[in-house]
Amino acid sequence: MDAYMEDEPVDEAVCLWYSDIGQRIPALRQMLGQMGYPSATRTLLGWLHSYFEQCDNFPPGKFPNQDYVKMLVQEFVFYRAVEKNLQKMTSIQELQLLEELCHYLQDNSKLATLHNIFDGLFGNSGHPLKDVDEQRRLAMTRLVSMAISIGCKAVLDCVAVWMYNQDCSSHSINLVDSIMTDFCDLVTGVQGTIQRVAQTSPTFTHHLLTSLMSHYNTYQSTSQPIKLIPPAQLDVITDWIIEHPTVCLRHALTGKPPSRIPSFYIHASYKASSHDPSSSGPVPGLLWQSILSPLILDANRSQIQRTLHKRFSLHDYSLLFSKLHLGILQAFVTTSTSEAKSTSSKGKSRAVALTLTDIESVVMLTVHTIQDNKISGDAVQTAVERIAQLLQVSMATGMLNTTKEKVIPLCKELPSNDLLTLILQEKLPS
Amino acid sequence: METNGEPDQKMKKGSTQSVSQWFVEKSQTCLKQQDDRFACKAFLLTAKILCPHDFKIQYQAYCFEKTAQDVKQAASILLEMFKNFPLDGRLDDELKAISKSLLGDSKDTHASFLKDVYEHLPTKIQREILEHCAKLSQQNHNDLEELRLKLLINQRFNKDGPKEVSLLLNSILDIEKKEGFKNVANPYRKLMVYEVLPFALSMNKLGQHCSSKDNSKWLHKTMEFFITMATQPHPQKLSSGDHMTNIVLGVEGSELSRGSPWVNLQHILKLFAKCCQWESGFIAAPGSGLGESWSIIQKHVQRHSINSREEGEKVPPKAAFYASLVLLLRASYHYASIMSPQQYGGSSSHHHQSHVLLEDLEPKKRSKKHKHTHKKRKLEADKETHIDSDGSDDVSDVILPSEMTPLSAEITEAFHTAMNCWRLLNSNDTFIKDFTWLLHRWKADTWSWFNSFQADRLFYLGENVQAISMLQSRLKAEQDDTALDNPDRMKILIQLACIYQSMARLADACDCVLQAITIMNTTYVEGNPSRGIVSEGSLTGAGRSGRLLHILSASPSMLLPYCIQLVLLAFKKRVLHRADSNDTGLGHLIVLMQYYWSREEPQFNEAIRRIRKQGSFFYHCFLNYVVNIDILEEFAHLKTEDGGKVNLDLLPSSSGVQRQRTVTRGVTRGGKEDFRAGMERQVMRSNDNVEAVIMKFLMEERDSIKLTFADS
Repeated sequence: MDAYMEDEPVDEAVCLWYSDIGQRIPALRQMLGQMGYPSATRTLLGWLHSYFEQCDNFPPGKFPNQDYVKMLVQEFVFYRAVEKNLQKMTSIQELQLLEELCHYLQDNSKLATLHNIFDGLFGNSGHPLKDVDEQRRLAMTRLVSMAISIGCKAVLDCVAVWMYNQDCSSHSINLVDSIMTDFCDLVTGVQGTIQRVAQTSPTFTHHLLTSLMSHYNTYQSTSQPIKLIPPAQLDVITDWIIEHPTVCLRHALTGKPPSRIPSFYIHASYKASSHDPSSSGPVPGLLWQSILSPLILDANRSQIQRTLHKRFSLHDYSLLFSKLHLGILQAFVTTSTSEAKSTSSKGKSRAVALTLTDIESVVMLTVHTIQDNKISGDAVQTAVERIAQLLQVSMATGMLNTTKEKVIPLCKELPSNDLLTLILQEKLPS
Repeated sequence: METNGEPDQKMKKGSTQSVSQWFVEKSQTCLKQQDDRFACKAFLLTAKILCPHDFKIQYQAYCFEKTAQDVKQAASILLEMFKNFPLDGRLDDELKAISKSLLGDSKDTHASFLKDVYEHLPTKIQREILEHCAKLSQQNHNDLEELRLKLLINQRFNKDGPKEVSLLLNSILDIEKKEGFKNVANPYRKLMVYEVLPFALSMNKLGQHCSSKDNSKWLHKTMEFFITMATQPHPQKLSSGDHMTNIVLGVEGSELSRGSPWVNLQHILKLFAKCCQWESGFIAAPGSGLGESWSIIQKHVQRHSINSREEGEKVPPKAAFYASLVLLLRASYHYASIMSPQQYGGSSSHHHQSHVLLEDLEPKKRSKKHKHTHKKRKLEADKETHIDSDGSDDVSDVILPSEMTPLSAEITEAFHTAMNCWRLLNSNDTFIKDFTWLLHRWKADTWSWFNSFQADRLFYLGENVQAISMLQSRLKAEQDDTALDNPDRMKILIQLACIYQSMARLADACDCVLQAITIMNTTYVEGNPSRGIVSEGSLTGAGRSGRLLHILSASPSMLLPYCIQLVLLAFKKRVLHRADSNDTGLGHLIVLMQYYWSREEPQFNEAIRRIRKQGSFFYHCFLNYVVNIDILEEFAHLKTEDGGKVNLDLLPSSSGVQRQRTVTRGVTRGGKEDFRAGMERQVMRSNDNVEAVIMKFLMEERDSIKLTFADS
């Protein structure tokens, strides 16, 4: 941080947490304004660093001089014109800024400080999104793209916490959607880059999947109770899950976190909404996709065929869902074995990925879709077989926290299937 | 889509077996009908969770990953199966296939896939698998495979366990013995020499853990192997086709499979020296030349003898013994292969002409000059190749020495190197004992190349009696052998004749020559008589002073002049030097003298003097073999008043002319006319090829020639 301090013309250190800061603000703004970009930004980042380190001494979320800090950030990091005389950033300057931010965040070793700085720069108080202006939103999307491209774990981990706090807000969904569209659908030849994300930051990948599922699992029509993930994105997602099975079950592994992680914008007192997709992670959503996909693909065959990219045939597309399904099953097995190892030593409670409600909803959706559409017997059997496999594997691995007795009534409405019958008859290992 | 009834029936049976079968079939349906490998795997995963103790399901999953060439997945399933079903036996075939791929027995893509799967397993499991496979080989009485697997275990997991490796070596030798292999080039010996030893000798601690008895045993077996490989008449291709050498070897091992056996032997000798902490200075670098290798040994032996004078230890160290033993065999084999390239492969010789070592028959003529060169030679250390540079002005010289050719240099280097090594190996009792024992152990008396060198060695040393017995035993061995090699037999016979001649055993000498001539006759082509013996190079023989040994090219055209000279010499000794000779002997002598005319003129004059003194001369073969104009004139003159009016009866005894003469017995006039006609005919023949005439003579008159020496 010495590098930032050197640029500071004032002998006296600027301590943003001091109570006298309100009086000094005009002088500081003038000074930074004279310095211009990038010196002003660097200087401010230096001040922010010591400020947030100091903030560790304050109760979570109750930081001093928040408004001044917000103002300085808006003015001298993002150069959002609060007054007319301020210069606007060129796109090259913005790119430079993002790169500098990447390095700045990477160089911060203290996790709590890191999160606070990130939140200070990009955060908002969740609902509603009033504080997030368009420029900062765009800057953040570009920052995430850059972090993915250069494999910057620090930034991605911060984004993960940010997304968690956002709780699948439209802001977070937009971010994820634009990232996935950029990397998978629009730009060719960067598949490898996005594939590495699961390795670089599993947490980010996990929250990305969670947000993405809440984006796609929205009702379209009776024949499409959910929106299927486009093949190019599904291709990347299945690779993530097959190669790194735990990315979709991280929440199950780490135990239930607090509903919000306190930081600059988020107060500990903030209450989570009743429906909280973050807490269940991406697994239920992914299962909806894998189980309903045979039905949706069968019912909307010609329509989907038309929209498919040249790279994928309909069969390829259905195979990807099959791969997704296998990936989830494997993730259950992997998680339960690694969990078994750590549980035996620590005596923690078992990980749970699914609830009976999740099963109930997917079974209901399946039943309704079959009832409401003309669907071939093969597709129906495939969907039911996937449910059967899911039940068997999740119950045996302990990923579904329920008993078979409670599951059997739910499955009564499903079309009959050999595997399902077999599984529900079989005495399961306790 | 299957109906619901079918699995229900199966499930009613309540058998896990049928459930697993149903799953296996179901997974295959996914793969074949829906082309969905993920669904197939999902089914197998579900099945495995449903029936965790079912081998079939997991094996199916493993086979599936094998088909998909997924190393990581296959390894993880294999690991699980190996842990879950250790004594099942159903996995054995797969484990065997893996061990085969590790041994390099199978080399297709599937094998390399299995190898990758194996490498993905934890080390502990890797070892357990190999040990399990070794046990399986043992149960199947596949000793060789068991030994190779044990070697692999040692190589992979026991880099510092010399004890196990020495046990392995000894068990290889035990099994080899038990199996009763007659050929040393058997798979067990190859395993030991090519794979186990290079690995074992590379271990630092081997020398400390093994007895010197073990070390010697292994070295002797290795030497035996490489000597056999180097000297076998039809060298096997070791580099390809032989699965034993195709195995993944260490750096050292792969070097061994490529080089020549002698280089390999030297290489492994070096390793032994290092391992046993011998003075490795004695052992020349692999690939060094013969002379170079010897001078290294000699230098170190000298240094050692200077050092040991103070310590009182006289015997040179073990390294000297083995280095010189290997060098002796290598040099003598090289010598034999140049002398008889057809017979001993002659891997290094680029010519096909065989050669023979023969003594100069008339050394006296050069004795003066010889004494001279002899002295000079003594100063010149071991440079024994003798070049007679001024042979051209000495007309009486029978053997015409050519310039020393690269070939003769090669022969003399090989011969002298071998002789030097022999001397060192016989320089003290310890060496003699070990040397004799090893030769006996290896049945060296059956190595014909070694016997051939031995014969020349004895011949060179002038050990005539021993040389004769060696040559005769070789002749006998050759006779026993159905594939009788005529040129070689001819060489032995002439060598024998040469020795008999020097021992004044004229009858034996002639007998041998005549046998050789019979062999020669089969391939004899009449050509320009070279009228001389061309020596490719010569050695000064030990023993009697002034002996000179020539290396002659062993073609009939080269050897015939020598044979004629040999018989002529015998006749001179028998006929001229003794009073009791008969006319036939004298006549034969005169026939032979034609070949070396006019060098033989003084001797011929002596014969004429004798005839004149006798007053009569009966020789019925005269008109058959005498074509020399000078001799014919001399005989015509003998008949005249001036010539001494000798009563000559030279007409053939069995011809028509003779019958006619019998009828007109007493009528000298008719006889005179016959004689004159006969002589005139001979004069017409005076341009005949003398060599051919004498060849004919030696063939046709062999009994009569033998008769001349019957009483000597």
